[in-house]
Formats: sequence, C-alpha cells, structure tokens
Amino acid sequence: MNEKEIERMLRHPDDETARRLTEGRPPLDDAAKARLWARIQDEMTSADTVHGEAPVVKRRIWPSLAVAAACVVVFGGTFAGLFSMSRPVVSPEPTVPTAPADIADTLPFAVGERFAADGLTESGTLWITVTSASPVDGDLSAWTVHVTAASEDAVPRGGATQFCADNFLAVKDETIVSPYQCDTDRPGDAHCTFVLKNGQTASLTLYYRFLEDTPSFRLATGTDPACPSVEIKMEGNT
Amino acid sequence: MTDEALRTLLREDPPRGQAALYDEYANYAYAVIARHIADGATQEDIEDCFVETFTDILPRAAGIIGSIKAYVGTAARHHAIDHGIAIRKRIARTVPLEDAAEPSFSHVEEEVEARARNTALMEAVDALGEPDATILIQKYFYRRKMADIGRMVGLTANAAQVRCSRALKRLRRMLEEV
Repeated sequence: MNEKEIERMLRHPDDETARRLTEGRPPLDDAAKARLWARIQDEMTSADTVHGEAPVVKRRIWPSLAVAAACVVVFGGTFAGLFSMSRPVVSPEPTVPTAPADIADTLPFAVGERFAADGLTESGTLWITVTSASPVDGDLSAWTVHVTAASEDAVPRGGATQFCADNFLAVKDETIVSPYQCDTDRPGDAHCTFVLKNGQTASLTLYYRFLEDTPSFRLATGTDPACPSVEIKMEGNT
Repeated sequence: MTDEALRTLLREDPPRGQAALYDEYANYAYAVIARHIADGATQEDIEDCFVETFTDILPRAAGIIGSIKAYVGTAARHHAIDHGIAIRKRIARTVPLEDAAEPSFSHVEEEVEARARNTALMEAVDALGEPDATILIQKYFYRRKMADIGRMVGLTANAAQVRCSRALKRLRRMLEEV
C-alpha cells in the first residue's frame, strides 16, 4: 500500500473502521465549536432579518432616497410655483410572503403519479407511486410523503434492493410492510431494503424536505449518483 | 441530556434549547458530514455544510418527531450529499482524467480485500499511539487544518505537520505487507 492509497483509505474507511477510528476522538475542540456556533447564530440572525425585511430594505432604499431627495431639490426649485402637489404620497404596500402558498400548490401534483423504475430491477417493472403528501405540523418546507412501490413480476437487482432517497429527512419505519426492513436504528442512516417481487407491494413514508431549487427526490439503489434510480418530481407533473 | 428534556427546553426556552442541542450533537453532525461528503472536500466545505445543517435544523427542532440524534444524523447526511454534488462538479472540472478512479468489475473479491485492508489500517493507526493517531484522523477523516489540529494536540502547526508526515511513513511501513 502506498501513501496515496493510505490517505484515501483514511478519508473513506468503511462504516466499522470509521466508527472505531473516531471513537473518543471528537472532531471539534471547544474553540472550533464556539467559532462554528457563532457562524450559525449569524446565519440564523441574517435569515430572520431577511425574512423580516426591515434592515435590508433600509439599506437598499437609502441610496434611492438620497437620489430622490436630490431630484426634489433640483426639480422642486425649478418648477416651484408652476405645479402644486395635488396627490398624497402613497406608501408601498406591505410585503406579504407568498412562498408557502406556492409550495402548497406545487406539491400535490406528484400525488397519484406512477413512476416506472426499470433500472432498479433485472426483469419486469417496479412502479413507484406517490399516494399522498401533507405538511408536517403546518411546516410547509417539511412534508410527509407516502410512497408505494409495486412490482409487476420484477426481480430486484442482486436480490434485496437497498433504497436510498435523496433530499428527504427520514424514513418512517412503521409503515414498511414485512418482510421489508428499514434500518433507521442506525443513526444518520435511513436506507431501507425491499425484497419486492411477484406482484408484491410495499409502502414507506418519507419526511420530505421541500427545496424550491430541487423540487424532487430520488429513490436509488445506493448513495452513488451512478446507481440506478427513479426521480420523483414534486411539481409540474400535471 | 435526554431527548425529552431537550424537547421541553426547546419548547420553553428556544435559545437555550437550541444551544443545548448544538452542544449535544455538534461533534456527531460534523462526523456524519465528514463521513458522507464527497472526496476532495476541504475543511471549509465541511464547515459550510455543518453551519447549513444546523441553520436548517435549529428553527424547527422543537417539532422533531422521534430520535433527535437520528434526525440530526439524517439531516447532516443529506446536506453532505447535497454539498457533495457541487464538490464533485468542481472536482470534475479540475481532476485530470488519468487520476479518476477506474471502474471495477469484481465486487465480491474487492469487498473482501477492502475489508481486510480496513482492519489492517485500523490496527496500524491504533499502534501509532497518540498524538499521531489523532493527527492523522483529524487531517484525513475530518479534513481539518494543521493549525486547528496543532492547537488540539498542543503543538504548533509546523510540528503537527512534521508528526503527520512521519506518522504516514510509519503507517506505510506497517501496511507494506497488506
């Protein structure tokens, strides 16, 4: 083994090796933890500020106000006496956030859609259907999405097909019908394994994190982007 | 702190609850991100992803259903995957073709071999002792900078770098037979 290979293995050990190597060796000391906490608080404060809009608007409108004031002085002096101000100044309408309503309108389009997942099997077709989608506790950026996988005499690739889903928060294991398993007991891991053939059906619940720039999630047979997958689009499937 | 105590604190005193959640799971989330982010990620990439993960989690933390640790881990993993896509694109533009990994065809054979190599690596790193083992893991697995690693193990950045190079050479000698 040469040094380059050792470096690569240290960067990407397998699960068991990673667990053993990092045991008792936390990545962050107190100083790093405090520095990152300060960054998180900054991010959260600026997110709140942008949401509330006041300081941002203030910064942006000051130059405009300065230009406007200059114009008033110049033109006001020139045209004084010729025109009179007959209309009151209308204040801008308050900004009403519209994104949540947009999101609510776009998500249900995927419900009832049937997606063919041919690449996930060696024979036949595996069909993935979004059976329902509803926001979690009224939070429109987090949705509970029920997905049903049904086979038409399909044989999964290499026996049990491990499903991974991108762009979602967690798989709720209670709805995985036996003999399908979901190893959510492994922290940070939400793969689930299907053994789906001969017309069987399985359902799973995903906690979907809605991102406006990626309004879809991917069910795949592995975490590598090259693995066979089917993309479930959460908008535009009318 | 138990999940229930954390949930109560998040509901009753959100700023303190968020700080407690961060305190409890910062190291765990960082480790998950380091584990799942793409090869070629820098400390800055990991830290950006880490900050984004907590900025995403904390405002909604009071409503987390089930295990908070599993939620944090899953969110961290998915943020790492999201970041990984951008990092891979960046690397694809800069890495010469001859350095790209070759496709493999013998999966079973490779898996057995990789397993043996991983076991040997684990034993060899343990055999290095401290602070060398920590320096290597912080540098390669967590992708941390030498200045930070040096501070962590009580050395200057230069001294830590020298130890790291020597430790890598010792590791190579130990693993020559594998």
